[in-house]
Amino acid sequence: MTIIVNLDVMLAKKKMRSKDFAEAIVITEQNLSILKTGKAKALRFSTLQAICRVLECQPGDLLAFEQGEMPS
Amino acid sequence: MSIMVVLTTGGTVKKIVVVSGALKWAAIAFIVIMPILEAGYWITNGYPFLAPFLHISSLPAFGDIPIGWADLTEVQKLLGFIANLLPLFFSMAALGYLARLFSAYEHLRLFERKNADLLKKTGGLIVLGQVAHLFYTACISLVLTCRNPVGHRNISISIGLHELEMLAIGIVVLLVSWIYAEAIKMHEEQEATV
Repeated sequence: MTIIVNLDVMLAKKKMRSKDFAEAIVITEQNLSILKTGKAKALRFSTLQAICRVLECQPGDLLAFEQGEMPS
Repeated sequence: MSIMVVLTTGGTVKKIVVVSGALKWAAIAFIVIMPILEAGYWITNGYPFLAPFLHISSLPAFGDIPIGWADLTEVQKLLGFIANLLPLFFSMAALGYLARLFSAYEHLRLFERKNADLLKKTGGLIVLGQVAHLFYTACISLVLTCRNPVGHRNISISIGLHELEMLAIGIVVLLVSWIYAEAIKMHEEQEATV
C-alpha cells in the first residue's frame, strides 16, 4: 500500500473510540477496520468529508504517500 | 454483506440456488450418461430399435467408401468406441467444470476468481475439443476402414459445420470468462471501497 491512512493517530489525538467514530461518520465498524488496516482500495469523497468534519482536520492530515510497489 | 443480499433480493437468490442446483445435477447426469450411451451405440450397432422414433446418424461416411455395421468386427467396434472417447473426454471435462461452476453459484459464491477460471477452462476445453476432433476423424476413419480391400482404406481428417459452430461457441465462452474475470476484479474493488 503506497497510500497510508493515519486514522489511528488522528483518533488517538481526538481520544475517540472506533465505535463512536464509525457511528459519527455513518459507516460500519467493519468498513472502519478495512480503512484502518490499509485494506481499502478506494475512499469515497463523502466518507473523507465525514471523517474530516468529525475529526476537524484536513485530508492531508489523514493521508500520506509512501514510495513502494503498487498494490495488485 | 451476503446476509444483506439474501434479505434484499431473497426471490432472486432462491432462483439462483434452485436453477444452479438443477443445472449442476443435469451436468453431472450428462457426465455419467454420455459414456454409457456411447458404449450402447457400439454394442447395439447404433440403436436400431430407436430408428423409427429418433434420427440417429449411422456410422460416419468417408467419401464413397461404403461402411456398414455388418462389416465391422467386435475389435473394430471396441476401437471405434475408444476413438469416440476422445471427443467425449473434452465434453465430459467441460461439463465437469460447468458442474463445479453451478455448484459455486448454488452456494452463492457468485463473484470469485475461481468461477472465472472454471468458465475459462470450459471455453478452453470446447476449443481444444474441436482441434482434437481432427485427430478423432483420422482415428475413426482408420478404425472403420482398416479391414476394407486395398483402395477402400482411408485416413480422413475433416472438420464440419458443427465443429466450426462449437469452435465459435468456445471462443465466445473464453471471451465471456475474460469479461467475467474483469467484473470480479471490479466487484472486489467495490467491496474494498469505504
